[in-house]
Amino acid sequence: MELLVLLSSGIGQTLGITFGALLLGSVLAVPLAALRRSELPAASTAAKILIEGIRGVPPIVWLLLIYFALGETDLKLTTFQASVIGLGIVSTAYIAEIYRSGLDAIPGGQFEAADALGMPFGAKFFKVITPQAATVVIPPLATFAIGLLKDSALASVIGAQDITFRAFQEAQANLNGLTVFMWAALLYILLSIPIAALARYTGSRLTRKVAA
Amino acid sequence: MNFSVHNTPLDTPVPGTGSTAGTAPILELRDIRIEYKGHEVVHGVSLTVQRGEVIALIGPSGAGKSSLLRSINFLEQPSAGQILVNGQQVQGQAGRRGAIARNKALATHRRDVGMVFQQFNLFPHLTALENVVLAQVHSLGRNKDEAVARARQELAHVGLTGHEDKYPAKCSGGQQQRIAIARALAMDPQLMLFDEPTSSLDPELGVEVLNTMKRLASEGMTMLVVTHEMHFAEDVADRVVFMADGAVVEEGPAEQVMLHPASERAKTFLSAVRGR
Amino acid sequence: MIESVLAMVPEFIPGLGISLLVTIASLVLGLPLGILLALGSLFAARPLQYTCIGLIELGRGIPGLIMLYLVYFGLPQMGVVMDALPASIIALGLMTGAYTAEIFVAGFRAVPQGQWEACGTLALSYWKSLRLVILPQAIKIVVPPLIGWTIMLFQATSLAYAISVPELMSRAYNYASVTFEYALAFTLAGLMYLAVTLLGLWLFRRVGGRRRSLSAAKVAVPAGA
Repeated sequence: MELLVLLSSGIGQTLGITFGALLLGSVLAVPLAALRRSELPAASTAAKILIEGIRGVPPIVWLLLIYFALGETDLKLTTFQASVIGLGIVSTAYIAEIYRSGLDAIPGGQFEAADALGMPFGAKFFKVITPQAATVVIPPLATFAIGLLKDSALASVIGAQDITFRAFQEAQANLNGLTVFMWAALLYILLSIPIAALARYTGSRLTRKVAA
Repeated sequence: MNFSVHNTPLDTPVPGTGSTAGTAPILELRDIRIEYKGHEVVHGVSLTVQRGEVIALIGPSGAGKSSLLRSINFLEQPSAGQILVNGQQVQGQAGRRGAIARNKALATHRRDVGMVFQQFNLFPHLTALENVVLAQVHSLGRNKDEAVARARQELAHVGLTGHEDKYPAKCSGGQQQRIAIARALAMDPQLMLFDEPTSSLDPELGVEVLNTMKRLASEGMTMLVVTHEMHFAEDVADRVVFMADGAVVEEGPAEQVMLHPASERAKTFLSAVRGR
Repeated sequence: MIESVLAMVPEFIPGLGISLLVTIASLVLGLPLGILLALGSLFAARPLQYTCIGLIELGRGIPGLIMLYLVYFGLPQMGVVMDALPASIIALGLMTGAYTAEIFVAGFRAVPQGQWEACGTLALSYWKSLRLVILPQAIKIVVPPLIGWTIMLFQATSLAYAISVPELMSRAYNYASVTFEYALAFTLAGLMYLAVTLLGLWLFRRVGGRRRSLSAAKVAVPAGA
C-alpha cells in the first residue's frame, strides 16, 4: 500500500508527459499531414521523408538527443520539458499518418459536394470533413495514446520523475524489484483503461452522429 | 409427386422420374428444422431425391434454401429432423461452426456428397490440379499418381485442360467454379449439392458453369441445386421445389412449377423474376 | 566533424551487432511463444484459453522498459540473477511472444470460414485441414506484420541501454560521455537505427505489404512497444 502511494507520486509526471506530448503531436501533425497530402510532389515527398525519418529512430534516441544535445547549448531544458518535446516529435510523425489515413478515408465526393455547394474553406473543413474524419481518427489515436503512455516510461531514463523512475529508485534502494515493477505495470495498465474507454465512447458517439 | 411431407416408410416404392421402384431413395430429408441464432429459419422440410434426379431449389432470398442445402452436409446442424442416405440415417456431428466432421459417420457421408459453393472456396495456395488432388490423397487415401491422373481427367471433363498449373487467382470466376466442380467430382460423389453456383459470376461466365452442370445432369449425376437461374430450373431440372419463408410452398415436375405454378406465392415470385 | 564521425563508426558498429543479436535472439525465443499463445487463445479449452488471452493482453499492456526491469531487477528477488544481455533478450522475447500471438491470431482469423467448409465437405480431418489448407494461408497473411514487428523489436532493443547492455545506444552514450559530442553521437546512432529500419521496410515491401509505408508495417503493432 505504501508502495502504491510512492509510485502514485509519479502519476502526475507520467500523465503530464503523455498528454503534453500528445497535445504537441496533435497540433504539429496538422501541417505535416496537410503537407503529406499536398498535390506538390516535392512537398508530399518531403513530408514523407520527415515522417519516416522520425519514426525510423527509436523514441529513446530522440529523448537523449533532445536532452543531452540541447543541453550542450544555452537552452537548458528540464527533464520534463525534454521528455514532452522528444516524445512530442515522435508523436507528430505518428499522428500525421493517422490524420492522413483519416482524410484518405473520406470519399472525394464529400469534398466535391462541399465545393459544389459553394462552402467556404473553413465551413467545408470544420462542418463537413472534420466530423467524418474524427470517427476514423479517434480509435487509432486512442491506440496511439495508450502506446505513448507506455513509451512515457522512457522519460525516466533521462531522469524525469515519473512512475517508472520512482519504481526504479525504490527497487534500487530495497532490492524488491519484482514487487515494485509489478505494481508499476499494474498502474500503467490501470491508467490506460480510461483512455480506451474514452475512445470507445467518443468513437461510438461520433459514429452515431454521422450515421444519423 | 414424390415429395413427402411425412415420413415415408423406407421400402415404399416411390413413383417418379427415373427412380428404381423398391429401392430406397438416394437422399431423404425428414422434417428438417434449422435454427439460426435462436431463430428458426427452416420449419420442418421433408424432401426425397431419387438416384439420377436433378432438383432445382428456387425461391426468394431468405427462404432457407441455402440453409436446407447446407444442412444435408451438416454445414448447418439441423435442430431437428433426419437425413437418410440410401435409407441409412446419417448421424452427423460437425465441429466448430459446422466445418470439420467430428465423427467418422459424417466424414463418410461427406465423401459421398459433393458440394459446390457460391464463393467457390478453392484453396488459393494450390494450383487447379493440386486443388483437385488434395482431398483424393488426404481424405480418400488414393495414391498420388492415381489422384493426379483422376484430377486431369476431371479437369478435362469440365473443359479445363491446359489450366492444370494455374492458381485460382489467375483463373476467371467461371473457371474457378469449374475447378471446384472437378474437385468435388474427383471424390466419386453419389450426389452433388450446388449452393447458388453462378450467383457471384457475371452472366457470360455463369453460362460456362451452367453448361458444365447441364452435362453432368445428362450423364446421370444426381444433383440438388439452389439457383436463381430460372432457365436452368426450367430446362435442366426434373423437379423444382419452391421455398419461401423457411417452408416448401410448392413442388413438382419442372414444367408444372415453372409454367403453371399453383400457389400465389410462386406465381408472384416467378413473374417478378421473369419481369426483370 | 567528419573526423569525429569516422572515429565513432568503428566504435558503434559492434553495438549495432549486439542490437541485431538481441533482435534475433528475442525472435527465436518469442515466435514459438507467440504461436503457442495464439493456438491456446484460439483453440484451447476454456481455462487455458482465458489464461492465454490474459497473458497476451498483459504482455502488450506493460511498458517495454518495465518488462525489462522486471526481468533484470525483479527476478533476482526470486533468486534468479542474470546478466543484462540475457535479461534483455528474455524481456524482449516475452514481449515478442505477446505481440506476435496477436498477429498469429489475426492470421488464423483472416483465413475465410469458407476454407474450413471446403475442407469439411471434402472430409479432410481437422489436423489435415489445419496443416494443408489453413496454415499455409495464415503464414502468408502473417509474414508482412511479422516483419513489421521485427522492425519495432529492433528499435525496442534500444531500451536495453537502460540496463547497460552494450548495444548501439549504450555505445553512443558512453562514447559521448567521454568526448561530450552528444549531438553528433546520438544523431549518428539514430541514423544507424534508421538505416536498418529502412532496410527492414524495403524487405516488408518486397514480400508484399499491402500498403507501402511504415505505418502499414506497424499497423498490427501499436506504437509504444
